[in-house]
Amino acid sequence: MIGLFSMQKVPFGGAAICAAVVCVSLQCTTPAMAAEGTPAASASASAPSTPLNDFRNQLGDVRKSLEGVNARIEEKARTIESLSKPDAAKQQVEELQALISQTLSLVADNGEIARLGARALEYARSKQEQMRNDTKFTPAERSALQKRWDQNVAEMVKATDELAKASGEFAQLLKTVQTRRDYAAEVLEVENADEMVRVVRNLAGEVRGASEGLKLFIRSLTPPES
Amino acid sequence: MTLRSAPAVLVLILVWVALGLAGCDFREETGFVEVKKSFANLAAGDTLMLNATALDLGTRSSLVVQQPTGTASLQVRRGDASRKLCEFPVRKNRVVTVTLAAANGALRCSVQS
Repeated sequence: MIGLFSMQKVPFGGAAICAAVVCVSLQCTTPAMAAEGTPAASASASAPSTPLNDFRNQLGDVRKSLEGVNARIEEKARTIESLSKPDAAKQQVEELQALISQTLSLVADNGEIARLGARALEYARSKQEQMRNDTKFTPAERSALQKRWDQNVAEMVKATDELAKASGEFAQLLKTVQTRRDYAAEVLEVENADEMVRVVRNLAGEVRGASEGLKLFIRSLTPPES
Repeated sequence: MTLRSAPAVLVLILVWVALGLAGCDFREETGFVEVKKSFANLAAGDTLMLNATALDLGTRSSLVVQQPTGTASLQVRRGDASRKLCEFPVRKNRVVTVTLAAANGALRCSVQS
């Protein structure tokens, strides 16, 4: 039974860690962080509400969720591998599916993070454009700001691409787990069918036994001369 | 029931309804749709729609979208007209993969759940 639920091929750590790393790297792409290098907490406390800050704040929450969920996924996978009863394993796999789904919903392409990421990227691009057309600052200041926004946009594009990659990895992970679950369900069904065959076979044997008994009984009722 | 006891009864009903609602789980059951494409680009003016959601694959070859459970359909919309490519079930906490391929000048989809 262990073979049914073996999860060696499932990159649990890979996807979750990748997503966590993406989130960490994304946190560093916001201008406040890149420019000042201050801790996220103090920056978010005083930072004005911009798409970039909203994105960063949301990512902080996601990172915390991912850290917790990653440990729970690995623990659940270990439990499943040690289970030998199909019913118990099926329930554990369902719980594991729910956990992975919860994580995937965080990084899905229509999820909150992806939407905030797109908005943040749009905002960074508009600032990049604004600096290109600026006439207020000195050429040196303008150039410095332009360079920073160019770098920010490049990093933001990279980060959103990595987020998309993480969502693909989680989808793959969920697919692997659901296929294992389907296989376990099929095995359970075929085992039930085997059990049914045994029951029918026993029943047939009992009927045959009863029939023999009945024949003997009828023979005992028949007069010897007939 | 007298008129004086009516407010008390109303309060009791409201409390009962509130307790009932508190026990309900309003979270919608969802699954995921992974849309993969194995063709270069959609024709100009065409938009890929998953139910009522416009999908922008851009330069990417796949994306993952969370959807409520039930039957989902993938369509190509051009202006007000839309053409259904395929329909498939979205099940709770599961991924269904829809692969889009171009064949004889038209888009075809294959579904794997």
